Amino acid sequence: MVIADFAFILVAAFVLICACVVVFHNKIIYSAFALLFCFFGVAGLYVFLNAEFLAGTQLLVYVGGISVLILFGILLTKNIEDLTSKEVSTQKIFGGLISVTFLGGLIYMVNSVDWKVSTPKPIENSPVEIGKLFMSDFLIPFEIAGVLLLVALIGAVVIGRDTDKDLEV
Amino acid sequence: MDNIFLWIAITLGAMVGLVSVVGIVSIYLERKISAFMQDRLGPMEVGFGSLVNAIAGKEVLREGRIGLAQSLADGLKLLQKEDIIPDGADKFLFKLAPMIVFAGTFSTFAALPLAEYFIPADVNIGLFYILAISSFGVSGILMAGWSSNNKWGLLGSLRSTAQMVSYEIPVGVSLVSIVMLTGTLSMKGIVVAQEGWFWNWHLFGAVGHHGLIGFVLLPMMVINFIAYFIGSLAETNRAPFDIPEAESELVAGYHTEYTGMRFAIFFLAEYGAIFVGNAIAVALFLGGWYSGIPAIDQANIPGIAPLVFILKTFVLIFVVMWIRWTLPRLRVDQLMTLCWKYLIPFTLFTFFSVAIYKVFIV
Amino acid sequence: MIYNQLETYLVISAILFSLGLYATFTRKNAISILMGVELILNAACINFVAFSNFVEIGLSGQVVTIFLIILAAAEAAVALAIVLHLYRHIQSVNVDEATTLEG
Repeated sequence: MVIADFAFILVAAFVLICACVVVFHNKIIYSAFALLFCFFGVAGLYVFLNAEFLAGTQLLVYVGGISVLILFGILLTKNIEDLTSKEVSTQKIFGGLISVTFLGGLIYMVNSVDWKVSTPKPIENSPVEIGKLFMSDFLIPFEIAGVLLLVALIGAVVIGRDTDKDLEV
Repeated sequence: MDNIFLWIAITLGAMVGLVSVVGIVSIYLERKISAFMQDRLGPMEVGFGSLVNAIAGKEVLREGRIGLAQSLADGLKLLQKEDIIPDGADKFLFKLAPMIVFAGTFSTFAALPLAEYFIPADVNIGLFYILAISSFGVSGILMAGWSSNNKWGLLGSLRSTAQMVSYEIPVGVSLVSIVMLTGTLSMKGIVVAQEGWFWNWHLFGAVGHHGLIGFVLLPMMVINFIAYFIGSLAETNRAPFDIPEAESELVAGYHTEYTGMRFAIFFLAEYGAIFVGNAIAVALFLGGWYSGIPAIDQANIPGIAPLVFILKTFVLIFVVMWIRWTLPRLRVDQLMTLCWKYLIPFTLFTFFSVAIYKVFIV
Repeated sequence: MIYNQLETYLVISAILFSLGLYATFTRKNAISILMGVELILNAACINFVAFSNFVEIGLSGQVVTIFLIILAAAEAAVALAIVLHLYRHIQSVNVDEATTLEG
């Protein structure tokens, strides 16, 4: 199937190029927008992995939520009218060395291990199956995730509040 | 293999046509309806004949009386306008932003169930897909506001994003109630569940399928529908929630600096989003392509199903415009109060009620 | 048939992981570091989904990925609140300048 291969290469290249822009571009706002597109591309990868529901979740949470949050963070903390503000990178050699070592080790591991691979088959109605797993095998993590989200919500509000003005509301 | 490309081309062509026609018709309707509300005439000079004459360079006569070709003529005018990019703008992002906003709206059209045989992409998570992909447009708005290097643009885009992100909660919760009731995320499945007489529509509690006990659902579904409708108004930045582009404060919000065709694309995306928002309401609450009278649906009239769907959607769009030209704009704090203190509690309440109904009654 | 091989996805996620690691090491802006962390989390997500697809473990991998996405959302919210608070205190988001906790 040539078309699928071609589409896959496009998506994968898109993800990797966007990730490179995130890491190496010296304008932080470009990094943030590239991160958004990177998330979008990863959702595309999920579609190739027969995980459409996850692709939707990725779009909803990452593209619609986390990226927008990060963009807000940048716009609220930078001098936003200065379009030329540069981002400095330090410890390039040290960081690059560690990253390349990790990359080499991981790729070596991927190639050397004999993965017990079976032919993938798309699962019919995967949202229903995922829901059943949430209510059976993963019930406790599911409940804890709910509590975690509540804690994070309240925590973020408490930390982000303007403490100088105290509680006037 | 050729078939795949042919199919993609036909589908994309149909979608592009649908988006443009919807945009042009909505803009025309908006101008006519606003004129009607304000007791004036609205566009009435440009008919199709005079438009053709103008393009051909012949003498233009006043012959239209209802101005049917006015938005088409405006589109042609915008195409010819000079494309201005502000000096201090970030050129790359400035050019990219309208495309992102339009792509976010355009992609949602792929899962709209216009008829049983006409869903460009009948994915089994259709509703989820629409919700997810429409959040893509938010970032385009932020991009437009930031890159145009304009305070009004930036403030407008920040307001718009905050508003869209917060109103996604009531909209999402009200849609989840429907999903819970029908047990499917597929747009086709949700519409098919409302087949038959109009009291089978979810707005009326799907009485036909659940028996008279379905009347318990009726108030829940009405609340749900109203919450969804208000939420979709806010998500598309329509009045009375149009503070992102409030003329008296922000000139035009995030598209202040845009001119010519780029501005037209923002406009088209906005009206496309309105169409999609109301089309979801039609598909989920108002029976989709079913006319509500079984005899008409079973008569097998060709093309009746998409027509019914689009007609219902335009009735809702009329209500949207009616609201715009009637109600004054909300303040930011009123906007947030409405969302967090009224819509979210109400939709959560209906959500729990539907869950209880589903578990204990059905 | 490269889209149908486990190794392709593992290599992509390894590259994403290394890029994220590099960003966390070299960037000074707290938000840039957060972006690096998000890249790393995404790399992990791709791995989980890939294994869920190619190895017969059912949908568990996808469920774990949903938990990862939940974690990432919570983490981003709290981290950005901290960054905003930091900015209000020292008028900078440079992590090297947040030194008031040093003894």
